[in-house]
Amino acid sequence: MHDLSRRQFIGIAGGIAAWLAASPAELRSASPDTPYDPAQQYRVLTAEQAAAFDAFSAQVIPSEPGSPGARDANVVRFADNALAGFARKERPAFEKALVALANAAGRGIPFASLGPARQIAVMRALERSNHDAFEALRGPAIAGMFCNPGYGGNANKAGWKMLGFQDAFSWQPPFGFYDTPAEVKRRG
Amino acid sequence: MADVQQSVRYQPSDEVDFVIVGAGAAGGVMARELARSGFRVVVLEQGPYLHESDFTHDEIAVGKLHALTNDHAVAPNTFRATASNPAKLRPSATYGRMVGGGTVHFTGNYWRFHEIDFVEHSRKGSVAGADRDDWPITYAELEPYYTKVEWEIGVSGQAGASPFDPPRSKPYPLPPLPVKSIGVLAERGARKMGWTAFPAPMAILSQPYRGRSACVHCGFCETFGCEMRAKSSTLATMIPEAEKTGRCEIRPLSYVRKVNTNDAGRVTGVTYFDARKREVMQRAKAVVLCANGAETPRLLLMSASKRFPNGLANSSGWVGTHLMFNGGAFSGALFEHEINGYKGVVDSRVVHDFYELDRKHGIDGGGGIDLRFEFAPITYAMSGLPMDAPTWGIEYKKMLREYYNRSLFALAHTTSLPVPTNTISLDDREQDAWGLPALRMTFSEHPNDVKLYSFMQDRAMELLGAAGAVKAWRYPNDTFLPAVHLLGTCRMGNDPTRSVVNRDHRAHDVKNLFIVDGSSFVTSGRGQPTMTIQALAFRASERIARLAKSGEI
Repeated sequence: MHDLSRRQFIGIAGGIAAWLAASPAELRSASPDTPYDPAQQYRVLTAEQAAAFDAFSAQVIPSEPGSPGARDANVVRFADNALAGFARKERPAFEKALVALANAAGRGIPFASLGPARQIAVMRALERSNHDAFEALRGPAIAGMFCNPGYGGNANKAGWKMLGFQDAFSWQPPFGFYDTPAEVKRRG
Repeated sequence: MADVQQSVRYQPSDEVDFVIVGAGAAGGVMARELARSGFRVVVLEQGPYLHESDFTHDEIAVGKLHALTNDHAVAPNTFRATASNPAKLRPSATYGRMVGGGTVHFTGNYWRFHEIDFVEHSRKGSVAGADRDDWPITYAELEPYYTKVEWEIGVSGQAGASPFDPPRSKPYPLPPLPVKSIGVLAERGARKMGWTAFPAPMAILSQPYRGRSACVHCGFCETFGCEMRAKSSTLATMIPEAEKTGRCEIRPLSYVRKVNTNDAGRVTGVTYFDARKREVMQRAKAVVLCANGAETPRLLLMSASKRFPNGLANSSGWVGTHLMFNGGAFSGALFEHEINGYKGVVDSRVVHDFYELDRKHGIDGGGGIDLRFEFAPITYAMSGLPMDAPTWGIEYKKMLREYYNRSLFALAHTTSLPVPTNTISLDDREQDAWGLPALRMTFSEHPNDVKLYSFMQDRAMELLGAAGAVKAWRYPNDTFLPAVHLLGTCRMGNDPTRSVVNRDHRAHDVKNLFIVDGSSFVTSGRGQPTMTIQALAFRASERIARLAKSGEI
């Protein structure tokens, strides 16, 4: 990742690009107008796939006391919903990446069953050995954390709250500390 | 909500006065001006006709979904650094693909070019490896049209705030947008350096104007469409006024594949695919291409015929050549207190102290720095942290929390020199979903431009430091793809062997073919080309209307 310009990701966001490259029609099938039913079973993910991706994304953005992470934001719901809808073309790459993750975990022990330190070590190894696979999982973990909550992720706006992004349609100045009247006058 | 106009409808067999290809920055202006001059106009736009009610802050739906831009999945690009490299599939050009074009999703930076941009060749001399030339028009000739853009579409800014601004005949119609924390910090840094950070001129309304609402500072400008009609896109300004004349039909989902010519070498109309991929030929007395600096040359090259074997209007061989982007060097900084850059328009302040570099630097051209914040949450999490930051894990999360509200960015926009081997051409293997040759880009920066990136990034880092940044960082200055400023590929000029259109934007080779968009540029300026594209369009529309009325087309 570090060998690529981050600036490039603004135009086309690495591992996330394909997830965002659906047609508007495909999008509607997973739009916020059709909210995900949490009681419903996963639409495309198997229980094992869901558990592995859940464990992976929980290491991408860990949950901490008082600070929700990817698990609390329901990123698995997001990924399942997306793979069933607007990102369905990404299913093969996503599933292949989970296989690569399982292989990196090795010895027949599911990635989700490993201890946290071992999971992190496995992820570091995968990131080095198969960067594309790693990004195919990291991308949706991040998209699911910070997306419009209608897609099934970012539950309770956990991702936005964590960043400090407030969801409102309009703002009035001052927008921050430095454009308060006292600071503007200070002309430091 | 946009008014839904009851607009005129023409038959493809009607020989209208003008077909305009592309309903973007230039096409929107041309449509309104030619229709107001009494001409019957059909505007063919490959993208959809969306309205404010279709826009949303949903980053997945809009930001990167190609809802507002060309979709590389159906219209692939290829890229190669030089003609000796194999061209590989890669998104290389991004442009607005909808009625309103790129003006719908753009940031709204409305810098005028300066006097030097039109005469840099005669003032500074030639540069090895580049075909720099003076424009066939001067800043003074274009000035009335810059003013016209500001007043006709609505631009917010402060005349006289920059000591480097070129002369202007009228102030801005609207005051600048309120200063953001980013702007206050930019002013502090610039003052310390002895520079000037002036309010960014923006095509976004700071106050209600001509029936449109003022900006509500939601922050969703770049890559998003404006629900408030506060962004001065041609969708919100020119297009409805063109339709109101009763003489202009906007025909969306119409993808032009060929400009048709007859044995006399005159244009007779265009052939396009409609929404159902059926071929339709629209007849016209004259054609105006406003399809952008990538698609305009591609269309000319696809319009080759027995009479025009190298592509239409290409006797010079210059169609598609001398592609320029506007380079950019990107830096970021963290400050002690909250900035909340995501609130309000992207750009707050601009520094033009290095617009025209002194010879002692040994670098041609120059640049401008704007201080900005351009990230919605997902893109921030993917690309907003410093290059050496972790990209996952507990430290990554900690940094996202600490940096998001307290970061700002400096984007230095720079000169691109016109290198003859930087081109748009037709790919010989890849095709789009309509079976047309894919757009192939060949591009390598001129060494001068690479030096300029570093020079401008150094200045940006000084500015951020002087503003009191806790930490500042650089992003690498590699070729920025996909390119969004697509310039210079059908240059205007007086010499038909070294340009494609004349000073009236008429093709040297074809009397009733006109080209008005970023492809007309002779030099790249330093950045922010849309203002100049629209000034050229207002000027061209007057001249083309005059030619048409006097029977000279």
